[in-house]
Amino acid sequence: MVNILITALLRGGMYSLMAVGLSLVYGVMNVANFAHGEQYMLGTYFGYFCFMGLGLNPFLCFILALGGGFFIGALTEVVIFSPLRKRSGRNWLMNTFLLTLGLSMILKSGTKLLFGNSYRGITSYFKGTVSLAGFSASKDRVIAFVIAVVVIAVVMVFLNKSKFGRAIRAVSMDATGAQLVGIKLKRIYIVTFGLSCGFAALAGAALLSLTPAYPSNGTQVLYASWVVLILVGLGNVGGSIVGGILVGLLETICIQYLGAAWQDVFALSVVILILLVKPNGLFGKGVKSSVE
Amino acid sequence: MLRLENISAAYGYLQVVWDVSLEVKKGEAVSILGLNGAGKTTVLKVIAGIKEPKGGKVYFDGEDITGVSTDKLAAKGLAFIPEERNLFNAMTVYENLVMGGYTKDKVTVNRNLEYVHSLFPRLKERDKQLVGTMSGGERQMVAIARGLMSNPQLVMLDEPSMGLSPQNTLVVFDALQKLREEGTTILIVEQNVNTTLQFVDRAYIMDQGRIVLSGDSEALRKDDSIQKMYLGMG
Repeated sequence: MVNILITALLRGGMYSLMAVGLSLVYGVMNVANFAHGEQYMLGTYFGYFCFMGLGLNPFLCFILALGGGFFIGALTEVVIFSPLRKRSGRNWLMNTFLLTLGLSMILKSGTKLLFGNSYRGITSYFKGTVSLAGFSASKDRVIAFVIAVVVIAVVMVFLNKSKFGRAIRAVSMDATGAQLVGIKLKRIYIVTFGLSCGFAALAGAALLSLTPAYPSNGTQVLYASWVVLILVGLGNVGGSIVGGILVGLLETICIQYLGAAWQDVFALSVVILILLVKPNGLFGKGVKSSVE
Repeated sequence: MLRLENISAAYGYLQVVWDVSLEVKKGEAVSILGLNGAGKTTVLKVIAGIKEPKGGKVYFDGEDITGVSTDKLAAKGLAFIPEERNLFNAMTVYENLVMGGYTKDKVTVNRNLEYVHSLFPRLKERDKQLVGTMSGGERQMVAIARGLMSNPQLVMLDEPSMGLSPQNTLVVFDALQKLREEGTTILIVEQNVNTTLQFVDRAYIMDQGRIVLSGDSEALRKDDSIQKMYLGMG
């Protein structure tokens, strides 16, 4: 039982990080991002080339992946979403869905074109295992989990305590109101999308020893992130943390008792059940907000 | 302080504001009155940069601000308190007010906080309450207080008494009166004709997207035919 819980935590930490990014983007920018998995995928390549190609310290690799992801995200906002925002009216959400779906295909195929279809993986960043109360996990897993926890904690403090973080939350609650007090939406959008992609890339890099870099490795992660979001309610950043762990738990239980092949079926069935009872998600509320 | 020249505005093919020119001088309180759908709110939204005008110019402090984006106006000293309030519902009263001073430094924010607390003591008591859980009257107070956090020279209010109890309407107008005495310029859009005419110096009457009449509030109040025709009070 303890084993299952620990495995679930380790597995869920990164789901939480991915979901927090996805949730932030949905809550603040009203963008349904279906290229989130590919941003994770780019992160795995960042990790691989930094670690194997340049032989850098793993932590430096993670930071570079985060930075690279941020840059790609910021670029996406400036080049793709910003022009769309000027022309798209009522169909904005649907348009972002189609646009990011297209972006996801372009990134996937582009990567395939550049690097081919081969798997580029590593056995581990850090050799050895960590034992705790009779349970042992690879160091990589534990470190990835710790990174997820630290980054999420930093993000929560940033959103709740800093001036810019508050402004991001303000935009998520009322964009017009935010403009009225003098917040520049453009900057908020650039930073928000940048952060979200940065987190996805960081997750990709940190989990490289578990999922090697290859062009379509983001699909599974994208589904898991959306499952978390739908589970806890769209745009709920605080809930995404819990949701990530929950999905980790569901998958672990499934792998333990039913077999790994059933994990998607199991997770999605639970989502359908929850939505039948609570259509707004587990923590869905009337008041719209991205951080609670 | 504020001058509109031949403003017209449209939603798609539907033009709702025609050729509106008006002026608000420094220290004045001016109102735009009219029935629902007369185009009053649209005029305010054009001034605040939320709605792009089809034609015409907006001058603030002698500077052409036509089409200047909303986020730049707070720093220029123009506060718009919309009918929808546009508050940050999942934030506390305190956080909403602090956001109101987004363009100001910390010292100014603290000074302004004290000021709006003196204007609306209830907001100080409700410091930690989430704005989304407050009553309509309290939310309006938060909206006005948030607008005042940026030291505006001109405050524009869209239907501040909308949906408020008579008691809360009084609280709001008392606060506006204080602002006026301190020399803040006020432009107010209202349907609540009598209260507003008692409060402002001058008023413009809008009907079907045009200004049909303007004058001192005293004269407008006495003008029976106008009250009957445009404001539906027999």
